[in-house]
Amino acid sequence: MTILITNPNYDDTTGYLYYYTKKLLKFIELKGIKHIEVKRPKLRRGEVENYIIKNKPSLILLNGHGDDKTVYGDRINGVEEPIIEEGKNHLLLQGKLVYARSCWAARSLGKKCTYDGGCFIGYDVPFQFWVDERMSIPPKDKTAELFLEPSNLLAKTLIKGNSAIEAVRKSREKSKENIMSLLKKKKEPGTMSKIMVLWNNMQGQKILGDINMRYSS
Amino acid sequence: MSKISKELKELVLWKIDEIPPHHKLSIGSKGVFTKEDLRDHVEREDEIGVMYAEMQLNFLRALAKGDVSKILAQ
Repeated sequence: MTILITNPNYDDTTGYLYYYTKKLLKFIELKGIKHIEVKRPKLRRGEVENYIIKNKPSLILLNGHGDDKTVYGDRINGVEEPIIEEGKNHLLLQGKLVYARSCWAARSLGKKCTYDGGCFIGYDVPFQFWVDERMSIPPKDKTAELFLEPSNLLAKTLIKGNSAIEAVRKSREKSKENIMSLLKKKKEPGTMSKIMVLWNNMQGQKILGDINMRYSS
Repeated sequence: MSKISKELKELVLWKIDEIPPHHKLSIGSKGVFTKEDLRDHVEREDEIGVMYAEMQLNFLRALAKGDVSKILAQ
């Protein structure tokens, strides 16, 4: 079964998501799993809809900006294009296992997508992370890694065929591990702000629908 | 009417002061913010400022109620 992954890269935030998604893609390729990476110039609503309809991916990993009712794809002429929108094409996600690494999408979109089957993992808060601007590229940024590795672990756990709830559990464990390691150096400036953001992402992560759903390759 | 109480604002600004100058916060599509940016937004009590203050308040409440230590101990 195919995995579909959207991978925008047009600003600082999506630049970091792009790097972490590339790490996931390497993992998928090593496992020899059939997958579709949708990125510029194909990261358009129509293309994504066609990929879902034609390939029937059972696992969909959405990366990019989002809000209560929308997950966005690329930025076209300065405007972000919705690729999945509640009330317009959200039924494409019904019955699928979906992880949206996007702000707020679990608030409403995720609920609508899982109304009649499927599982949606996402956030009902803005997904946030600190970056260290002394590191000009994501691979060197150990600060950003604290926030993005738990989300990559979630996706990896799903790809390995574990249940959605197990993937969420592992991601939370990783976040807790990062909080514990930060607590050991809590006198360093900014440490509590990092813990606060890890806590925000952890508490805001929601699993909706069939929590026992799993991907099988 | 102020959207962030005086006490909370003072606390949030004090916590922002502790952030190292080379750190920036990515808040989804809202952008990436330096500590100076965050300070300005909290001072102005705009959408970003209120969002940041609420996150700080939620975290402090969780710390005070023992939720953070409970979760970490699980």
